[in-house]
Amino acid sequence: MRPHDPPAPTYAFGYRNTPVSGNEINGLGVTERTRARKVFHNPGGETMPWDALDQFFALINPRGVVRHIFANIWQLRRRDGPVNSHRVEVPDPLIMSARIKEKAIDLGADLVGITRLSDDVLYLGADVPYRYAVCLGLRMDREEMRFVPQPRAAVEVLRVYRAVSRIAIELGEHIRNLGWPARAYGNPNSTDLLHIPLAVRAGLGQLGKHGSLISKEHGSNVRLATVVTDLPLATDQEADIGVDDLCLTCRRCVLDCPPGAISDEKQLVRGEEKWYVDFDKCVPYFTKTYGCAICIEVCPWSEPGRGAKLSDKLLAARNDGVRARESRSAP
Amino acid sequence: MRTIDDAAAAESRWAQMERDLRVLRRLLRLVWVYFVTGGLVRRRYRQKQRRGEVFLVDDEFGR
Repeated sequence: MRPHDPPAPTYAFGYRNTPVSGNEINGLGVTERTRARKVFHNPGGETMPWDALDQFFALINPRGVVRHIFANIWQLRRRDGPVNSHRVEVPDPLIMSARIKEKAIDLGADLVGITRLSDDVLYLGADVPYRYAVCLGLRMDREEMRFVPQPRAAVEVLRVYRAVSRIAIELGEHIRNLGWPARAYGNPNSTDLLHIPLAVRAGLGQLGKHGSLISKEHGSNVRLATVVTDLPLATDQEADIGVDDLCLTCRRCVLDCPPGAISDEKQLVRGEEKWYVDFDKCVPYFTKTYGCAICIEVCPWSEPGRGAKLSDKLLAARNDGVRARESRSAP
Repeated sequence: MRTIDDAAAAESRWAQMERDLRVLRRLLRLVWVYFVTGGLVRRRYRQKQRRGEVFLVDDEFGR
């Protein structure tokens, strides 16, 4: 698909004194493994370097978007709650994982995966004393998302954030009813967690060139929420669906990104070579267009029904390549 | 929009009511800020856009 009449990357807003680069805050070029720092979308009381633009963004959003944000704030008051004093024992975490996934699907989730929670998927300073994360994905209406980067698509994004938050809240309540602590995290402005790295670990998909999750089932046309819990669960493996095989040669998002924020090569970020989007170029355009989302919609993986075939083809091509190299090197 | 950091595990019904009131108060404040402060910001932004000037966010929001 093509973006719907994207405005030029020129801005009628800006900073008198430009804050420290968001790329520096994000740890671009940093060789040591460190925890992520918050830079935009401030959920708490602390002041962040890009707060002024964040506040401006919040206030210029159209009413249709803000309506969903307010409703989400209200429902997320139930993200935590009392735990049933009668605890259900879990002799087999594998069976319990299957039940939790089934419950999540019943509640409406399109993607579910489970991983262990560790410090490196938490923001610096966040303390989340739980052992597991149940990662949830919900797909957006592709017909509405065809309007990126217009406000109509932004409304759809926030509608889905609200819907996936509800699923996380209800799944959290279900786990607490089983007698185990659980807390739901919904976006946007989730306080503690890095949802994308968690989802990658939980096998929901892989990180794409555009810095977002790519799932086999729905590409990047999904929004995420997470439930953290101590309920004993069996964890999932990371998925290899061939995202890198395509991203290394595909330039769709790079070409369609109006501010040119997407790089053709992986970069060193907090001690890890990975796809990274230039924050300082992306965020002004993101603000101007109420959330942009061009890159995730033009991504070939986001085309409905395409992901599974694409993955099979890419993995087959990779295996063929390996076999060809092996046969060439054989004596 | 600031969201959820003050939501807490509310054990008793009374604690749940307190939590709900706290979130409601915060939400009402956000609604007020969006419509009243936000209305002024949006109007000033549009005026600056029309005049071809730049709306300086750090002047408006402190930093």
